[in-house]
Amino acid sequence: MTSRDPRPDTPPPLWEVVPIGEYAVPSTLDSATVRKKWSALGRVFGMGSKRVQSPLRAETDLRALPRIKLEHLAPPIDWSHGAAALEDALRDRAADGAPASCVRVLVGQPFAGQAEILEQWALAHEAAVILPPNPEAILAGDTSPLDDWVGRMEAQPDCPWVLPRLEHWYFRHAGGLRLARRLFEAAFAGRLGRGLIGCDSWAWAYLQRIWPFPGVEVLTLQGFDGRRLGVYFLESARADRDKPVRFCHAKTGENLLPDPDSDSERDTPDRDDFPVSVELKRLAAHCRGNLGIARIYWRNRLRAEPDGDDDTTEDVDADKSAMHPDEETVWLSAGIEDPVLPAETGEEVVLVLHALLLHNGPPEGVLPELLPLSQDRILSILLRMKDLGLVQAHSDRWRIAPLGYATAREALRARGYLIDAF
Amino acid sequence: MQNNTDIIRLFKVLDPAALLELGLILLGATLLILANQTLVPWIANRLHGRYRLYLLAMVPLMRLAIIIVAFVLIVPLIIEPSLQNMVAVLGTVGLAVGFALKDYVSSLIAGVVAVIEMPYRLGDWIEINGTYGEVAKVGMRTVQIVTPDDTRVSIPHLKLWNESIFNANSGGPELQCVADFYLHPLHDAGAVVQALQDVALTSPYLQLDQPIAVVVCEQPWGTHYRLKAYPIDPRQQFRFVSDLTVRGKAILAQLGVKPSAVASVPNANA
Repeated sequence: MTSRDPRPDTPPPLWEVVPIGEYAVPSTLDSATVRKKWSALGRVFGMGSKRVQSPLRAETDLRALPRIKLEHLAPPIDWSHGAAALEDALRDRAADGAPASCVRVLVGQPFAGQAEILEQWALAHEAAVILPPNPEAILAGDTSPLDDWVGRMEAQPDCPWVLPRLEHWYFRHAGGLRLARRLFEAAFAGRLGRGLIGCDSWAWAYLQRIWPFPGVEVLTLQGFDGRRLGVYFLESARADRDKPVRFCHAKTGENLLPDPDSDSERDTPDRDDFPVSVELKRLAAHCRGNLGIARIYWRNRLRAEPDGDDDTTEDVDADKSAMHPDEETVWLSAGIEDPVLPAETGEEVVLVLHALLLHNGPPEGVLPELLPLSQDRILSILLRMKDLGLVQAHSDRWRIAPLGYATAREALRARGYLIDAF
Repeated sequence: MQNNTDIIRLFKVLDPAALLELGLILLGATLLILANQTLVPWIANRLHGRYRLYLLAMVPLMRLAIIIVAFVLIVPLIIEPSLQNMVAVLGTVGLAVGFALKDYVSSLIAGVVAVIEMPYRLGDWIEINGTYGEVAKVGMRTVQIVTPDDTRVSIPHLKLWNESIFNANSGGPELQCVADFYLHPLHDAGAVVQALQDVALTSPYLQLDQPIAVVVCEQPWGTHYRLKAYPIDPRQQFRFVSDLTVRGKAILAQLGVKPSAVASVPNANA
């Protein structure tokens, strides 16, 4: 992994799939980063953070946007662009002489969309999507689902396949590795033909310890730096809206994206001179280039002016609105505080967080098999972390919440636990 | 009589200002040492891994530095710091103390050596004379360790001169743990080795950057397996070994491997 130069000479495409070693974590070292580190240090020593700021628009003056409007301003990510970038990358590699039957792996951070990209790719190429077996079969070391699949592939050797969620094919349990090992044996020996495997970055970091992957081509979606985020947010916001939208920072009044009435920038957002605000660079660095998480931060920070707003008309941006009556101003709130793990957080909480990340949301019923904790204890920890905003439940699975990911990752890194390579 | 007068002449007459200065230096040094011994461990215990151990190791070093500085400041206030005077005073004091408090002084000197050579530091897991535990305090005269049974044991630094000191992690977070398994000899040893390696790999306490080893030794009563691995933090060692043992027993039971059964030996005195 490398740190990205904030202004490359030639702008790369918005969606780009690259070898994992070329992933560039957006970096920024500015006053916000120093302030963030300082407040983290303060939390370690039990000091509260004292914020002194004089925002251009007070948070209390702004109101949350209705859900339907948020869906327009920050719609769900269309991962088909990622699938197209993946196809481009595969075509380039085929042109370079890579064997057509090989199995490649697409690795990405949680919420970075690698599974969705592979599903979109499978849809476009009529590839078989291989779903994970049930947890009980994995824990029992039952390899019959894999044997069935191998049998089918021998009958149809030319049919491409996609296995979008490798992290759901193993458990960190003495009986839970057998199926994954057998899968790797079959896949990388060429017995399964041509296929793509999607894997979460945390599971990949762990699986590399149980199985050597020399010579396996590992790809990833390139990180979204400030420029990419700006282009993406601009394009997604105007995709289905007639009225131009201006995005302004509530604290500084800074225009976060190019002027909606600037035709040159609107028409060519991929240009090298696309203006990138400091806020977007910070967001990209905070999210480590993860588009899925960046979008959620962005979406949760969008605010609107209150109806019948009279006493703030003297603002500079109100003047701007007066100058452009046919456009709408949306404010980005000063920031969202990440969930905070208390300094006295015990080892049990950290173990649970690690298990959730390594399995990208394991079923609740399996957690007692993975951890030296009782079901009741685990559930109480999960509920406490849910209150803190660190985890969320989805069906019977528990995952790290997108806004809690940075906190969880930092807590594990500080304590010396295995973390991902992103 | 003449000798007494000579010795007394070595010392300066302490006027009130000198006494005040002396008092302030002693007070300042004491406060700094107290702050060093409470504040630094408090900060260190809010950190994790290597940073915690490094900071803890600084405590006795800083204390020694404070004492040396205080000593250097105090001596010129009390005596005329000429070579002749220093030799005379320190020689006399050393002779008197050496006879009366030989072991005490030896422990103090060993304490200084312990700070410099660092055979043990705060946060290390050491064994001295059969007592195993985590170093909780490196004092001037003794090292205090807390055993796994939460008993605080004070051991004079004097032991440094003639006892073996076993340091399990030596200032770092890497501390090897061993889980023992005693199995009936009739089993597939290869399958057991693989299963035990997986047991270690899947323990949530495992430090994955460190190697895992399974040592097999055939004994008259069965087969002895030693599963060696490293926890993430040395303080997890007992929970780690327990976890390895529990998981190991479960997977060995699934493999159908039986524990070694040694017939009880009748008591010869019965």
